[in-house]
Amino acid sequence: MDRLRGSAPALRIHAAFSLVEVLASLFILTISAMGITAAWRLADYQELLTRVDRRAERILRQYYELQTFAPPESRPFTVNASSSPSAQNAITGYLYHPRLIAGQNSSNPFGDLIPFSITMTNGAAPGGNQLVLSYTVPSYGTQGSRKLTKTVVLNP
Amino acid sequence: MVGVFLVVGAATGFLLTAMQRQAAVLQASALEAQHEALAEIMDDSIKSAVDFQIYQQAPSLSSSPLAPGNSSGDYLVCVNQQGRSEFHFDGTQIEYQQTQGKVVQQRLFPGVSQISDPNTGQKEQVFNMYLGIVQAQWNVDTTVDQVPFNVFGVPLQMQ
Repeated sequence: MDRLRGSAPALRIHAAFSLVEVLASLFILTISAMGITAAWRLADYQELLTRVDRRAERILRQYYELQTFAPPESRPFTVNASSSPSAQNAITGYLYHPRLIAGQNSSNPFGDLIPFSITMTNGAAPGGNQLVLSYTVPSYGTQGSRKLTKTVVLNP
Repeated sequence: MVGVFLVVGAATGFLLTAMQRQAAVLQASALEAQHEALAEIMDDSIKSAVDFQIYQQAPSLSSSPLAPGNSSGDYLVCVNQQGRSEFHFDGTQIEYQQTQGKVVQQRLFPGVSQISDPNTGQKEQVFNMYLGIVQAQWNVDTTVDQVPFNVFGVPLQMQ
């Protein structure tokens, strides 16, 4: 009896993860989180590029309609009599209006990003007049920002 | 044990947030595509119209030729060889109704807000005849951004 009382308490064994297991799972989760974040950002960026590209096409088509069908005095650009190619005052705007964080700007909850400009170049040859829309896509990772242009030839 | 639950919980929360954000972007993209289709329908309807009118009040159902309208309004009616196309902005959405003979098709395009005059800040009506051509202008407010839409068209009778 005395021998039992004097002995150390029995070792209690619990099912548990070892430190190595916890660290390994943390490492895997961190890598996974980083991978998901990178994939998420890339998907967001590609989606934005696609949408901005479609919007640029749509805006160019709208100005083509205006330039072709509106009464001469209401057209956004005037065709110069001069045969030398020249650029006129550009029309400017934004392709992306992201929703701002609540309270950032109470009057307008949307911002303005990715500026574009439309110019008309007058060519000497028949059918040489064209509308040129240009915009700069934002940088992503190591890839710098790029300037893109879209062109439509106006009917003579 | 608590640590593991914490890590798994954080990872799950992160994944859910990512999925939620991606769903919002996809939803916005789908809404923009819907309105792009509407803009094309409107463009085709205006260009091919043999008769058209813009109204501030709901137009009569069938009158030929169309009753005189207004220079701007929230109703646009185009009549072409295929039938009659009617567009109506009701405050939050654009309703498109196409009538071909006795067949009536209706589609709704939600998430619409009126554009504001840059000088006065007043809301403008969706359809107008400024610059001497038929115009439609509206904004689509998606979950992530705002997309402006402009349609300019000259009906056959004006070309």
